[in-house]
Amino acid sequence: MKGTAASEIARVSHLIRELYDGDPWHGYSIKELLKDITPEQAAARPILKTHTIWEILHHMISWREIIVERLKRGEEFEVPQEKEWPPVSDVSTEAWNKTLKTLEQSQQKLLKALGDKSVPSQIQLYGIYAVFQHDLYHAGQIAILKKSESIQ
Amino acid sequence: MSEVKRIISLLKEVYYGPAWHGPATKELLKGVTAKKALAKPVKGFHSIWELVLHLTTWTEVTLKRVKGEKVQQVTSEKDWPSNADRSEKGWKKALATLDFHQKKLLQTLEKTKDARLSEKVQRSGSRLDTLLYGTINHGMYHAGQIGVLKN
Repeated sequence: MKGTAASEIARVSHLIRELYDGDPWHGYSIKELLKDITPEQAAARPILKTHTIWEILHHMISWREIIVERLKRGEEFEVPQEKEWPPVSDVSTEAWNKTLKTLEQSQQKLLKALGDKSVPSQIQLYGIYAVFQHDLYHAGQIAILKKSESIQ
Repeated sequence: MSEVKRIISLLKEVYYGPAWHGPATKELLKGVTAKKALAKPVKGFHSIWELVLHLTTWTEVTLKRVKGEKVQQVTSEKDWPSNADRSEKGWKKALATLDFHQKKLLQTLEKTKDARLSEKVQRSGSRLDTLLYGTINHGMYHAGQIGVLKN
């Protein structure tokens, strides 16, 4: 594996796929983790001062949408403070399904943007890795929140 | 940037920070007491202490693989070691051991050439670079969990 931009893109795309709906080495994929979670569980706050699963998903979607936009415009990745944690106001089943669908779409958009972008700059690559790692960090949190007895 | 250099910088980010995704492992562990490390706020889920021992095991395994040393199969007891000494001193020791292996791993990688990354690793059958990225990701995943448990 040489450090060329194309091979780096191939690798990060693979990592992003594995983490979302593949078979990652560290544990469950995000899709597997989200399977069977009800809107009530997603909105529950079993650990005080910690975000809910739903809030975490809004947060992940926000980061993913921003990187897609920035990649298209060839800009550096940066998440404005006000876009970090979009609030969850509607906790209905429809809203939950919509969140899951938006996450799925963000995955497709991200992979497509990576496919279109054959020669990203180093700084953009850094941003793509950051989004991947961010997903991973929060996947670990979703795994705990799901285990939490009070939401089972 | 050479591939090994990128791996080193990602490993450093996850452990020491600063990282974009949030606080790094060492930053998260700062100020955590033995009592806090032992707590299990989420029933059925590991404590911070157990996560630290688990990370230590895998850092050590990765170190051996980079060095090309023989690695014994990781038993469930090694995968998730129990914390025998539950004192403040025992906690400090657990943190120092993780720190030690982390440093050793980075030092060893500094001397590793890119060409070695495509070599197959004994026992696992994966390439060394796949394994190193796995270690980075594994650290990140559990860092997120330490972040929650710390609250």
